[in-house]
Amino acid sequence: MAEAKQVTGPPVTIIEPIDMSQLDSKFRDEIRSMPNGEELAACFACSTCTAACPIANQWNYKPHQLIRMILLGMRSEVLSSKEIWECLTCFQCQERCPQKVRITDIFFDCKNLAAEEGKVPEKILALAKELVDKGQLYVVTAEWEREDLGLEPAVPGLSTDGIKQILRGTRTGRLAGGGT
Amino acid sequence: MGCSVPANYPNYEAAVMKVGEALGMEFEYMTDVSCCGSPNLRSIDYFGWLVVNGRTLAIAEKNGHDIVTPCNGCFGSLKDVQHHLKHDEKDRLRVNKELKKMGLEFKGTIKVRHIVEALYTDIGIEEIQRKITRPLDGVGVSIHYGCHLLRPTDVTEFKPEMLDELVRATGARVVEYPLWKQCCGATVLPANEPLAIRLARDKIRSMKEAGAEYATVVCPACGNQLDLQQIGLKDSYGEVYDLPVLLYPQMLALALGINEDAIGLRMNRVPADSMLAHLKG
Amino acid sequence: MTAAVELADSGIKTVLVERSLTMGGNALDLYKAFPTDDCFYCFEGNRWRPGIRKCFYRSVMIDQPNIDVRTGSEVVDVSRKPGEFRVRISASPKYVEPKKCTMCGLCMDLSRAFYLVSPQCQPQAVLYDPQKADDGAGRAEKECPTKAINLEAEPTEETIRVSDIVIATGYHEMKPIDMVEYEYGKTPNVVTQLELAQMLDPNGKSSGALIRPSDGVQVRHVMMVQCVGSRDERYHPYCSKVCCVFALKHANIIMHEREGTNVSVVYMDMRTYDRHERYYRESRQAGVEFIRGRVTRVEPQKNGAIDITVYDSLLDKYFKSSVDLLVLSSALEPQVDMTGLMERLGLSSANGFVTAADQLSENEVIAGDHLYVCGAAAGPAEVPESATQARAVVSMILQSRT
Repeated sequence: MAEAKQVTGPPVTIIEPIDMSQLDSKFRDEIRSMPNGEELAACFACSTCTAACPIANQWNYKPHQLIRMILLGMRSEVLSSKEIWECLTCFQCQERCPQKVRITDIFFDCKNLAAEEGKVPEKILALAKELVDKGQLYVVTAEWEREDLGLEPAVPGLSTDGIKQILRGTRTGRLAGGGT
Repeated sequence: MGCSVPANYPNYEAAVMKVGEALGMEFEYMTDVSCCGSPNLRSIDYFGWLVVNGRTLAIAEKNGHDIVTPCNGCFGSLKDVQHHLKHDEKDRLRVNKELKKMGLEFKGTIKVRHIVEALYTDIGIEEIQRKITRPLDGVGVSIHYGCHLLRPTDVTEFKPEMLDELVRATGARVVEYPLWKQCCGATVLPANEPLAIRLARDKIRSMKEAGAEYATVVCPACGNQLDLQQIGLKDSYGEVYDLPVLLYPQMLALALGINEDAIGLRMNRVPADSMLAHLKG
Repeated sequence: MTAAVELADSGIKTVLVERSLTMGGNALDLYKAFPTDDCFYCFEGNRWRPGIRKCFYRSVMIDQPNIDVRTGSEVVDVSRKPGEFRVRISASPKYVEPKKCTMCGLCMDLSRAFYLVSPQCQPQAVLYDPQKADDGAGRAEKECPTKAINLEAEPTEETIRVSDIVIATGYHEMKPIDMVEYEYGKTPNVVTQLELAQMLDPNGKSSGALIRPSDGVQVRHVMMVQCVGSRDERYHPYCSKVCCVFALKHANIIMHEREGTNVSVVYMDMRTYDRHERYYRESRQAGVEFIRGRVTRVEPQKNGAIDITVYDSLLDKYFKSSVDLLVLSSALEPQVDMTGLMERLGLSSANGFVTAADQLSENEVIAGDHLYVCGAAAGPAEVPESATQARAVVSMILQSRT
């Protein structure tokens, strides 16, 4: 196969089959042991999830294909895909799946695994930092708007210490502190 | 109340409080609770998300009151976390171990509710209609329910018909449109902004094509996508839809005779003042 | 009906209780049934019976003295003493006596309240609908040449004693109203396969012309969707077995017999098992379009057409097209109201269907002590298979008496 760096090299001819012994056969069990991943193997690739997804038409790997990849053990492809991060978390796929595979939940699990390896999109990493630094995703800036409406400028009861304390000790803290 | 409503849509907060006052609902701001993290926290740190929201749930249990929230993100997070912790013993033990350090415990005794469900169940359509003094004149309003209010159904247990009836109770006409179940795109905004803008555009377009004059939402994130994002649509697509988006309690407040400034109607990004002309009486 | 006939022929008195006013159940609505692509009544080989043209059931139901047909009747109670059941039957008023009716049609001319369900109905008799009673009805009663009509008829109740009970209550076709993505029940041009069969039947409302229910416009493009409610953990986890076959039976009829109309079938797996594989080959050769995938969205348009978006999982692409008729191959469910009866008789259930009393036995028709089941009441079944099971029941009953 031709390498991108070389100007001359053998032309691309046949694409070698994927060597299944190189795949991670434990990946499917890993996902199955994660929250709501139990029904993963019930998938019979009907592609209802893909039909239901509003945005998968611009994905390289469609939802049913990603599930297939998990079942076959294609761990690195799934965890480094852009697709899982573009999931809207709208649960349409999960709602319509005839085998009750909790697809959206499984994609959340994949994102967690990807995050463990430090593979988080930039802007989401920024959100993580917000949570750890400020303890909330949205900070009140227009106090006068609140006062005009007769509300207190500071949000009553909203605390930031508790959440900061918790998240500093979990993966969010590790990610926000510069990643792995 | 969450963190997004007070920061981005204080008018929603005001509307909820005013509506509660008018209908005899007692709301108490929860103390010492935090942002829910939104589905994006769940994506990167499931356990952190469980503990943060478990803590909020435990505080509510200590107070002995149900949690009511006007935000789909908070509703989805809190209800899902409660559902998970109730069914998964291992995670419940892990979370309670962390909560114990703060003097709290999750037992799963209170209910997590969205403001519209509380309005429907606790007050009821009849009572609401009785208190309405300025009903709308049948103006066409399309409803965007929002994904985390509707799905997954085994967790949220919410019926879309409830919001339909609540909207009708104000005197508005519900305009159905083919994309009613579709996501507004809020969650994917950080990961892929053009995609989120496209989703917002598709929703607004579908509503407009079905003949809606206004849209109503029940979540600040959806509100952001459908209301504020219409400016983004002008930039990206060069399209102007001019579809005012009201948070449902704002509509209800107007129908109950509450003054429009009290609910910050002027703060809606796409000018919504024209709604006032549709009030009868 | 097979069981009744064969029992009767063997000298055993049989009472056949049928809830509707005419016998045959879903089979009446199948139009051409597989595997013979013929009206289902005629494919039994007993053509030697005297006095009939082709349909042997027609006169045997009336003429065989050992069969006592009770249409419009329902079993309301059974006392459980196997071998000596006491069955209470509630019968609706018998306004027209089937044994006297000659189907001359006079009453139907005189009054709208008289009607014929189908030319092949069993018993061969006209029916009366009291809700449509008009002045002509009284006249019809007086003028009926065989005095078959009695407008004063009352509902009756009777308790009979029987030694064995055979359950052959058939199936119910699921009406997928809850599956909102298909818009069934919200728009008239979305129908089920049985509803399509009735549309294709030359004896049906449109005399067999394939037109849109909404506005009568000729159907040019039909889309069928398989596995609606079947193989679905949210509705019916089992495969309904025969719907791939009859969907293609319908697709072939449309492609061969209805000019200018074509068919697409959206499927997950094509389960035309056994010898029925030929329907699949024939349909491909007839030009039916097969899309392996699922429906994304169904959008009825104001002009009556439906815009459908589907995902094709073989090509990994989304397609949009405009169709006139969307046909859902919905699940074969247990018959309505079975649970009460099954509980009373202590029957075992599998997915709501009556199942063998002994799960480890390969004898599927024995549902209990002196209790038998055959046909779709036991689960989705073909017609020939149902008749075979009926004969197994007869065999069991005869053996139990020797």
